[in-house]
Amino acid sequence: MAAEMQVPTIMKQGRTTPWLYVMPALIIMTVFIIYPMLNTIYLSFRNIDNTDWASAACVAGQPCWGVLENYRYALTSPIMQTAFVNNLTWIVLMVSGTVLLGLLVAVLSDRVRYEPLAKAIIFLPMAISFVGAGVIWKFMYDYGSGQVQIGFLNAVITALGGQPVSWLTTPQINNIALIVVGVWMWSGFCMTILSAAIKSVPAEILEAARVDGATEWAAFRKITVPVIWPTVTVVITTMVINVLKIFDIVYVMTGGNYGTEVIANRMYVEMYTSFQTGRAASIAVVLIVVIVPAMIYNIRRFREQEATR
Amino acid sequence: MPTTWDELDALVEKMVANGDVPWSMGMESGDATGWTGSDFIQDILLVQQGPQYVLDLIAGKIPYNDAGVKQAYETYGKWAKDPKYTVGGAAGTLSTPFLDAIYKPFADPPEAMMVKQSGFAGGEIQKKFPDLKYGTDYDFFPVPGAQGLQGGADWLMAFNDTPAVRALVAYLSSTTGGANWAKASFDLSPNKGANGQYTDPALIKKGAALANTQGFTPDIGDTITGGFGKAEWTAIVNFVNGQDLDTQLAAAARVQQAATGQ
Repeated sequence: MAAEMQVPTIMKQGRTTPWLYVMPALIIMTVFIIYPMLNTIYLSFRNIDNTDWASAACVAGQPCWGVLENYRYALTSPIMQTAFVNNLTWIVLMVSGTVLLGLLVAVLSDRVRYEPLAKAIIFLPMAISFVGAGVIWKFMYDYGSGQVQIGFLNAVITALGGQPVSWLTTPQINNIALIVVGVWMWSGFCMTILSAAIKSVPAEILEAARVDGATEWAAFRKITVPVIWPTVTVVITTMVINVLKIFDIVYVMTGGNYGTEVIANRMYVEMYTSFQTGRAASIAVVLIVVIVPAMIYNIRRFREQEATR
Repeated sequence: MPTTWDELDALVEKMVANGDVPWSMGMESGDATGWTGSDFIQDILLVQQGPQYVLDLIAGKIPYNDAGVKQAYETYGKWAKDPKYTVGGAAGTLSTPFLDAIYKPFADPPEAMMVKQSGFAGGEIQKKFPDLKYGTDYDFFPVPGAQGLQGGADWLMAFNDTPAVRALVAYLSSTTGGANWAKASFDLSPNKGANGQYTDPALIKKGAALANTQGFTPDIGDTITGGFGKAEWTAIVNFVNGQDLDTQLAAAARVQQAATGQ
């Protein structure tokens, strides 16, 4: 056996050297992420202006959770319950909408010569900010009071002889209207990832299936879908995390009124419109608690996927 | 120009009979949507109930779902929810941004005859329609029959304690300082030395209303802490959108009682 090569001193790493390399990143993470998170959790147990524990806001004769009083508001108040239901609606409709639309475009554009153009068009909305999308669509949904309709949808409706609809203030329609904006923005993201996954399906298997007489739909269902399924689950969980944090669209278009309230918007309103520090902090903690399982699942799935490469 | 609320009512009916739409209302304002509505409600309260009632609301002595408040909401709702009285009816009131509502009476042809707004509206109209002349092309009248005024003010704050700063504060609080402020035609001043010294015609009229008023109240939603402002806006917005008035007022009253410690 050859003798062990001497490692030059300059290449030896001490115990502390790795820590020195990581220290800048650790400091930034601690100051900007860890400390604020711990402070938020602390504030959620305090009262409106951090002068006393949350139990000080308790009124005699009314239900009170003591030091968890802010959590009582975050979990049981009517507006928060509306927000939870809305977030659930957002998750169901927007995640299925973006994934299905992305999948559809990915599959169809795979077989077409103008594929780059089609994918660019679907991906383009991702280039603008959520707020920009909110402002654009606010004009699309605009309700003009009588004379000229500047909103695209209402202009089409009145041109066909109907009455204009106030899309953003009518209770059930407005949630769907907002979700459409979200789907419009994020389909490009799902399409890109799913397109890459679809192209990784081995062409020989599909050819063999077609030779054996399978229809396109059967080939898709029995071959493509199982192969891309791990990617689809990662896309779904990423979208769930995105949708849970939805804020800009709701804030810009309806301000959370008319039954469109969502958790993140409520957190903003409690903090900066009502100046209820404790409540805003507790809503933030509730949001984190809801998102963390989705994130853990996402990371685990991602790791499993990486391990198969 | 009407001087009592009944005369205003009669004027509104006359406009409707003429085939015109009397009011242009716009509540939309991002996440502050509804503030024009709650301002209107407070003005109606000042007409129907008086300034002491409003001050009691702010202190929490009168709950927000009191019969007086309900009556004010119903008076407002009669106009705001009806397309005969307001451009676009309820949906128009909710979807129109407040600035656009100010411009509607100046459209060609005018979409409405009147808009109720606070003092800054005059400046906005001048900015947007520089050709229109105040007094000849458009004018305003104070809320008819109001027993008091509502308003907000800017704060004069001193950040350094130096002789120069003290001298400036003393000057602006003096009678001459108030008079010169009025002559500069910037805006109204709470300094009584400004009374009668305004030179801008619109400010003269506003200044006279301020000098002669029997009571002055701050905005209810701005004064009560702890989220009552947002609760007030939610109540007016939901009411105009068709929801039950009693439920909305009860919800706002709960926030008011919690905030005022009753």
